[in-house]
Amino acid sequence: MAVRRGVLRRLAAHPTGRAGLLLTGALIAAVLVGPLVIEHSPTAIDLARKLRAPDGANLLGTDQFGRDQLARVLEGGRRSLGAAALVMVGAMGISLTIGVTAGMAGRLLDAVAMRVVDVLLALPGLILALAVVGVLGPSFTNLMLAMVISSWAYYARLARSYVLAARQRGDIMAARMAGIGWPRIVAGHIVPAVATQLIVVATLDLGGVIVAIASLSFLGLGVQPPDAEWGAMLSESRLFFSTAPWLLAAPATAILLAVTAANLIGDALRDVAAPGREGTG
Amino acid sequence: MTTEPVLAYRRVSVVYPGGAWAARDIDLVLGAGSCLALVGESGCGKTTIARAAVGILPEGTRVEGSIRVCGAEVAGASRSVMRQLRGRAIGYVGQDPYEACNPLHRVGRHVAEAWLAHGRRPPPGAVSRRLGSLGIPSPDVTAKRYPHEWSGGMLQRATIAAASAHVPPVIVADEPTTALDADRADAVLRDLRATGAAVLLVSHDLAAVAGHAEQVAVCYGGRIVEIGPAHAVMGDPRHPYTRALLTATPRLGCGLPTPLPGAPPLPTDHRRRCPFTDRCPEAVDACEQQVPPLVGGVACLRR
Amino acid sequence: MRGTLRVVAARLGQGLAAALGASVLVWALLPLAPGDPARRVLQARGIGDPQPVEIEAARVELGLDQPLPVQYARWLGRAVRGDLSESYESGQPVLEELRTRLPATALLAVTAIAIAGLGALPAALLAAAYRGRWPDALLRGLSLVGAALPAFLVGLFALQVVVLGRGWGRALSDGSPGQVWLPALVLALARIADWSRLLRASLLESLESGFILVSVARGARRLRVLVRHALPNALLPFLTAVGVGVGALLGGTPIVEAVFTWPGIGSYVVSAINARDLPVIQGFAALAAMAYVATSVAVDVLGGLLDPRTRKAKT
Repeated sequence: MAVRRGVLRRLAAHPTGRAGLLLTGALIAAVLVGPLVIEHSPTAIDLARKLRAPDGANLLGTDQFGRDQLARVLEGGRRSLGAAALVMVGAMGISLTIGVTAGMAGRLLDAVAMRVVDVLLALPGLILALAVVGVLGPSFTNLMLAMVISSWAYYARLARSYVLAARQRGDIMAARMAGIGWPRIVAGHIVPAVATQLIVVATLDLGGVIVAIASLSFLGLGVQPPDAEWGAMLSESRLFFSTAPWLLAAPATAILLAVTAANLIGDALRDVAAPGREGTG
Repeated sequence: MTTEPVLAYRRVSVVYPGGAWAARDIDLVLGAGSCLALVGESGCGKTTIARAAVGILPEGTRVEGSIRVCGAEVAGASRSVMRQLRGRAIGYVGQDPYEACNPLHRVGRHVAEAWLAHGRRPPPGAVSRRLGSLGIPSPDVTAKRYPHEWSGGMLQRATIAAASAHVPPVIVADEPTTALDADRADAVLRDLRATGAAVLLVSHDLAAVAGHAEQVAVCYGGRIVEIGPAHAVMGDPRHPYTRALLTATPRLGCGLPTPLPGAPPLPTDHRRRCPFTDRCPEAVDACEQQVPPLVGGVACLRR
Repeated sequence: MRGTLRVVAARLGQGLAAALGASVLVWALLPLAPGDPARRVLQARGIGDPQPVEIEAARVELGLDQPLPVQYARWLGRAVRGDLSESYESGQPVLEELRTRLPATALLAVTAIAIAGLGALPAALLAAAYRGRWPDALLRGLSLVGAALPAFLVGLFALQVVVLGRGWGRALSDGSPGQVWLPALVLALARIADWSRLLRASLLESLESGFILVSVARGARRLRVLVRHALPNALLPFLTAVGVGVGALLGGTPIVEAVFTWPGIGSYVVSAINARDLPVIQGFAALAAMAYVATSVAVDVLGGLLDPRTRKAKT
């Protein structure tokens, strides 16, 4: 869409946006290309080379099973970043659907939808995610499902308010008066506008989603061994703090880089999409 | 009996942080106990001129020239000097009494602020006494109420009580009656005069001003264009702007007011010309070439 | 007063609805849950390899042979009477298990909130007083960093450096007040960043008010104006944000409890999740919803009481 391309260009022009895009690009390239280049497998056990500090053979060292940490960090990155993206897309999809329905439909449907949203919002996000994972059982898929369930409600309420605002817009009213039916207006004008606004808000929360996924995995509620994931790697590294600090440093740095990239893009996107508004703080 | 002015502006100019001139070459003199009304349309700079004496202009504003309050220099004075003068030598009454009060404090505390601001407690009964002398009924009881429970007129009186608590020789009143209805307005102005202080009264309401001020100064585009005794300025205005202002004011028996076309010059306009030129019915070429000096109480090349 | 009571009652009603909704959600997901609770309970009781007959008997005992809605109705019936069923693992009443661990979590949460408040307040005051100058920029930078740091990362780092490195505190906590400061500090970090930003914005807005100008005109020092006039007025709108922040803080408690092995509700629930102890999760979800709503109501009521404009006059 023309709007989308314009936003990317403006992001690239913005200093923070440029930094964020570069960092994100580097991270994505690393996790996608890295595993093809590195000869080590993230799950291959080699007890002869266990707990080695970073050296020529293992650029980020090895863990207690002799597994190459660089391979695991990259594999974990694929998992974490991929999951974050999936969760966001899922939450956006659901919240957009429900938000637009609530905003455009009759009072009854709207009221019911908002009641459900209110109930879901009555629980702090992480607690709700814990409850869902608790019932479904610890697994990475269930973790993503739990995160979608615990985050869509907030965006749905936002989407609904955006829809209500969009309905009052001049060009929408003009289209109605020209005789264009609601379905076309909703699909062609309202949904794209609301979706864009939601994406800006969601990007700001992306860092938090990455952290939440890592936190839940850290608790052992996400990825199950031997799969690699940043939070899980941190949990495993606890026993070897003093003896093998590189086991903590690698995934920790990865998380910080990813969160910083997301925050940079989010801040820049907010400035670019709504110019003239004061920055944070 | 001294004739030393209690408030004197000499060639005072005020520049905002961005470089815009809010006021230029202001000369005013206020004698003890007298009242000077500073009038003009909104944006002419009268509020800025008045606030300069109290030193409550926005951060970074520069004041050139000399403002003396009871002989003490205010323009460019240090913060500690200003703190000593404020409340004691010069009081302040603002436009909106509700805005002027902290909504979390009772009205009694609002008056007591006059002492608390200086790190002291009001003497016992002082607050009630001052409220009572301004005509507030049952001050002991009403002072315990909150500002939103008071009427506008009464609250403005409480503000005057606070401003005059230390019996300052000068009070700056910045549009004190704009937020009130006509009958309240008159009472508030009488209360201001009754404090005995010299009052610098800023107003865009000429009718209200007429009965209470001895002097009137007309402000336009940041400059004083006419100044003189009230009866003279109001009864026989000499500057074209004053005349236009008086016809724009609704007055009984004078028909409907004729509003002034055009707009005042921007504060960023640094041209040396009469500020009223663009809207003046008597303007000639000379008016574009120089700033008319204030001579004999009027700043106009045609007088 | 009556108006406030009505609002409080409505909000508490909302809390009950939220608890109900949370429990419905949790129960609705049950059909997707793998594993057999009956088998698990028997294993927890020590019967390593249960026979089908024993499993069936356990199912009837636990009411698991009934259709799901009936099971929910029975759970709900017990819950409204204060009985949250028994844990699959320990066989003890869930309410009791949660109650014994509540003090540790409460201590952690309250200390963290206090630290967050005490940290955010001077930071916001400094930033507002020196707006546009280096203290403001420094604090803004710090708060951005603080907000981006994941709590468990900071906790791990703190554990490593402070406890294992310097020897302060202990690696395995026992939940006592003497050891709460480090986990509470870690938990409070994100909130300090958030709250100092919000309070600063609120302070700056408050400083635009007319009574600020008047206070200066009366001769007050800038410190007095900031602390006695701007701050109390800035705290009111800030309180609503605090309510939301407390929720986020409570949500972060399980993570911090896990990192510091703090014996609270959070770590208990995590181990219950790993043990697939469903009654604990169900009870926890309902209680957490109610606790969160109660906290927000308390914060809002507090805000209402502090503002004389919303307080009903006593005279």
